[in-house]
Amino acid sequence: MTAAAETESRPTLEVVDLKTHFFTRAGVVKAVDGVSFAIAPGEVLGLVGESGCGKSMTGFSIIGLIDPPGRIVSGAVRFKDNDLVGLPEEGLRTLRGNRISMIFQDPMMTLNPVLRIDTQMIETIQAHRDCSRSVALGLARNALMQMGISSPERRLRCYPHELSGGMRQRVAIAIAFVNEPDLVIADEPTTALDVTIQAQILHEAQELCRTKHTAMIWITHDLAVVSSLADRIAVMYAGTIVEQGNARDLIRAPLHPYTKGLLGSVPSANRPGERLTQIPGMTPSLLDPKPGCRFRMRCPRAAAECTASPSISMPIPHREVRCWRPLIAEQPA
Amino acid sequence: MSLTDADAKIEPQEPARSAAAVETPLRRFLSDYFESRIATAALAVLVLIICLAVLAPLLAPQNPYNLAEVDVLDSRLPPGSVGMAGYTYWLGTDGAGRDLLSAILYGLRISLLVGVTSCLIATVIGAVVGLTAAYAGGRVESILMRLVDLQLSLPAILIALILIAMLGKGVDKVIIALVTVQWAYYARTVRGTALSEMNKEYVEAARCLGFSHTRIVFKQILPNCLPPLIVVATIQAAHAITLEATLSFLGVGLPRTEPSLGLLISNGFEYMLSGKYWISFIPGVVLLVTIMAINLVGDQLRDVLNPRLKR
Repeated sequence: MTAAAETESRPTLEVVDLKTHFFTRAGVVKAVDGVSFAIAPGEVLGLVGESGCGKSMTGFSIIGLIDPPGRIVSGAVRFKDNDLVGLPEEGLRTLRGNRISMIFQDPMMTLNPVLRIDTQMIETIQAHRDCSRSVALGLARNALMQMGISSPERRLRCYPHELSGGMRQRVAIAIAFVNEPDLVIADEPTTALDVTIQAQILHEAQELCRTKHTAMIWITHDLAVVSSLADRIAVMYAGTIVEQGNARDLIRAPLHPYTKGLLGSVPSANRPGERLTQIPGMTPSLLDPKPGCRFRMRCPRAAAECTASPSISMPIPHREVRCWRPLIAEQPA
Repeated sequence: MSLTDADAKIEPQEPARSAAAVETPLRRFLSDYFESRIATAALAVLVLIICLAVLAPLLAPQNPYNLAEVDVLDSRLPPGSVGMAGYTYWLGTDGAGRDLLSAILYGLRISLLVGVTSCLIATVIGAVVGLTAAYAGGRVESILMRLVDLQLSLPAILIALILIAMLGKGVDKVIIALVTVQWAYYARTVRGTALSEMNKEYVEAARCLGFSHTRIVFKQILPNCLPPLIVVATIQAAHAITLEATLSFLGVGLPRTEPSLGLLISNGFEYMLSGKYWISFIPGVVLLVTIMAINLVGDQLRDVLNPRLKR
């Protein structure tokens, strides 16, 4: 836990029982089904889960970019003083890229291929504040330098295809941070990069959050990435958060059987040659989910009570879990 | 790897890319373009023709619009003959005694002016309509694109003839007619490209950056639609020039006092069978060369700008 996260009591963002459903012809896809969490300024929340568990949709719901047939059905997204759910498009647009920004997985796709880096950065700055081109250019240069980009002058005049993958993602992150937002939603930004560059970028993004008191949601499927980066971790499964807590405690002693399964499937350098444990079965379809715990089909601890939907409980302080039979016995004393 | 030590220290994660830095998109585009000798020649011819047209008042030995300079007694002289004033008509004269070389230079000027202007206006209209349709989607798109279909289902020459009949003669009227005939091609091209561009993530990213709709459409999507638009514009410019020539040949395009190439061809048509071929033939050849040059340049642009044909 950082000092910033502890002293600031008022969270930057508070998501309360958010439900985003997609009304398709085949039925209602409950992509996000009752997600709640809060982030303090300067805090990094790791949102972890398998593909299709609704983590990206949670991110898009926060900034209000859910396209039809999808819709936020209920819940609240409190950002500072405003509830973003139901805010008109115009109001959301002044927040996007300005107070809340987003980083995507593939920087080759998210940077406009035919515009130079400086054009794209200046556009982003001038979309939200009234300033001259030269002032904007100075801000852009600073932002690139903060992301550890050497010779920013030269990079600014480049087109995206002239930069390497890591450099492009640095630029994308610099664009996300250029207006000094209060919240950054990073949607698997390092998945497409190799491990060494991933580590550098993680470090730089973390630094930026700490120094600028920016709250960050780091969406990933990779527990290893998030364990070194995040202050807190929320584990998502089939549209709901199944476990949430302090990163170190959660990794060391998970409460939910799913978290334990995920941790077991991370290759560890300590146990070479050992077979990785896998979670049996497949992620359930989010189309008209059946009542009851959604993990029970794959859960080694499933019992009769699991056919009823579990609610969030706090078996030990500061640890939330959505399970009837959490792994309390395995907790360190 | 020709990276200096200083550079290597600052950015160990970056491989040397000094070679790649030299190759800008423009330079690659130019080297691709000039790979074809025919296209290079076509571009040279086109540049020459444009220069001749622009500089016509300086280059032409005679002002064909100034009746004081034109001598009716010199009419229908074959190429190379010497006129009453002791002046050599290198390409001969037409039925009114105009120096054909001068008339062609001035005609070229008008033909290109009409072609390029109508093409530019049609590009702007078409791009706006196409982008609006693609971005707005739904009912707006349906209405706009049905309008395009309707436009394209009628023969261009027919629409142009009707419009000219309604509006009357004159350079501006011809331009209006040509724009009306052509905007739909651009709209359809731009919409197609814009639709595929809109599925790309950078548009999503632009929305996430809080850009307004106009900003996204004109500053993010439009630049990505330019390559096909440029190709269509080139081909359509040639088409516009031909169409203008056709209209003028039919006698409904430009007024007789401002002869374009089409009108010159039409003027000489009545003398064709009496052996005075040059009055129609030479402007015809100039028109043909112009159209061919533009089309060849357009073809090469299409090949170079098409990422699927990248070698």
